[in-house]
Amino acid sequence: MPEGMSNGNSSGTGVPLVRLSNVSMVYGGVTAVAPLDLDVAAGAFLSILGPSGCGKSTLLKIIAGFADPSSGRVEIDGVDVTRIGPEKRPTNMVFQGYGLFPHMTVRQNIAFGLGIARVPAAEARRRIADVLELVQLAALADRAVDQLSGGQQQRVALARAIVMRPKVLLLDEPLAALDLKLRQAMQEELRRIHRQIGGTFVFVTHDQEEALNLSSEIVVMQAGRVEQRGTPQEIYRRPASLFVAGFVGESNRFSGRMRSGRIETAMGSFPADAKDGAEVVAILRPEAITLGPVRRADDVAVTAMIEDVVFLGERVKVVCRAEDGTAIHLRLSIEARGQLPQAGRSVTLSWRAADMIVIPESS
Amino acid sequence: MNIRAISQGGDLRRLFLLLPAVAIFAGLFLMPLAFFVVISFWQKKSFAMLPAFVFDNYLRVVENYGDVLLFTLALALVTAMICLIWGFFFAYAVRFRAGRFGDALIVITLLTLFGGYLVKIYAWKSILGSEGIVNTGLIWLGLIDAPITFLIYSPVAVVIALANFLLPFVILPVYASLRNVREVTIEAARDLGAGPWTVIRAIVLPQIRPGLIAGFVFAFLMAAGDYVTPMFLGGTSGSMFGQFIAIEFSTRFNWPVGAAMSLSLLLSSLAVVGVVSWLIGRLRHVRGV
Repeated sequence: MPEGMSNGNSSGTGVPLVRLSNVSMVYGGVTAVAPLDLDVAAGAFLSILGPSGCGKSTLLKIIAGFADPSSGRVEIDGVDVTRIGPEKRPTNMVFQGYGLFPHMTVRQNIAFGLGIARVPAAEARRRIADVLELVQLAALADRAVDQLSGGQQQRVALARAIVMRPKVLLLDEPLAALDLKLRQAMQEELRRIHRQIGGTFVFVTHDQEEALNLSSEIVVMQAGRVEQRGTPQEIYRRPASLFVAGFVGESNRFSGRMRSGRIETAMGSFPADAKDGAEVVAILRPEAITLGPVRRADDVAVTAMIEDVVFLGERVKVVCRAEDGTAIHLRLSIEARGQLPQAGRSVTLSWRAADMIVIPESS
Repeated sequence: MNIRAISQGGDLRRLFLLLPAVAIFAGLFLMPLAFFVVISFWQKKSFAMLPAFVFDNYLRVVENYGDVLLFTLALALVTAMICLIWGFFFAYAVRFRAGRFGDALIVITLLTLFGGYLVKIYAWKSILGSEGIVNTGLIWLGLIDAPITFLIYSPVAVVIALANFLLPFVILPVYASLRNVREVTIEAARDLGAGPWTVIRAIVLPQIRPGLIAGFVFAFLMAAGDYVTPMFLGGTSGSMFGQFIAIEFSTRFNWPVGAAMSLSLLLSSLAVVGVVSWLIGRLRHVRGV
């Protein structure tokens, strides 16, 4: 499993910007976060991805200082901040639900932290102007925040945190409340802003697409534990567990038992790399399957019936059923005027044996 | 009755529906007030009122009762401020600190209103009196030799008893406003570096201005108009304006002066309420950049 990948951004000293050691969180007997270590390199855009209740928000609150960990140590830029409150930490947070101050204008919201930090007025004005430019809100600076749309409020929340120039910017599901189009637009914004200002972002989300789209690195969490850490490609292409495979992207699953270098499933046996006699699951991404004649001699091939064809614009979702009844999902890209596959036809499906990810059943 | 019937009835019907409210407002609020305004300019001859238009009554208010009026307003202001500060911290604790006990604390606050007003006054009498709990306790502890005399029959006693009685009237509107303050705004302020006092001053108080104003108005007006508490607990040094209004109406049967006093109290109270509300309204203004 790829661990401790480098994105080439780590600071010259080699010390990570954020370092959690043996951090755990127990609320009244319930473990929200099991003891874990987590490093965040300077300049990273790290996403913490997981279903609700997996401990990802708690982890973020521990970094921000809103939650006292039950055990462990939190270091930011080499300084132990475990016992330091959020007001004194070099982090700033974009909250889920934003937490904008409703009695203030956009500008006053953004100026709030600078005022407390006693930033000289001239510098504060310049920084506010810059950040308003960055989030494209200059025209709305003197509006009351409750007159803004959801997307605009989101930008104010972002600007309010960025203007403080935190060593780490923490984002707690900031896009969850936005509708799909706006969410996609804001993802682009976030990518642009991270490119433009650099800095280290830690982003919590339950949306795997968002995590894949934004991050230089992803930490997948489940039930208070880190399931896997890696680049988006690593997480998607080499999921370390059934949970990760299921949570990130769509997948076909063929379970079976290993015998002499092959996995024996209900659909047939395919070459696979795992210990003899092990109960395993082969994960196959829908886009790894080709419909039509076998192209390479060593490809795996099965015969199946097309059951359903769903047109998705630039792609088609095809559901097939193998002779033994196993459902197989495909994603095909089609040309602009290309013919769609026909439901009810018998076809050959093939894929590279190497594209199957074999994971022990128990993981 | 369906919707069409209402809209067909038109304006006439709507006026008709407003009639009970207008009647109550005019009959119970406007008429007596107008009556007071009118007779405050009348004259009193022996035991009869003579219609007139003179300012003698207001002159008497200023000359004879000006100092009592100022004292009463000051005492009510102090009482209302104590209630406001205390009530805010109580409501704040209920909203953000008490967790699931919050509702219980509010119910208990409401329950104290059932206790009755005179009962509380007598209770304070027995607590603050020279043979009261406080004095006997302090003597028993050896902290004082003789009872503290200013505890009862003094402005201190009046403020204590009024504040005790009026506190729920402040807690309830302030708490209602605090319920609309989202916790995430407080977290965001802390995240941006605000300490506890800055959070309260710059984030919480400006968001609950309507509740603060309502609480202050309740407490201040009820305190300024009260004449029972000072009668029982104020002694000679803690006499309030309301007591003198009562004397003018009852013992002296001088309604014109009583009316002028009532209106003077009303107008000066409104002035105080106006100024304090304006000050509370200014809480919104934060240090500009």
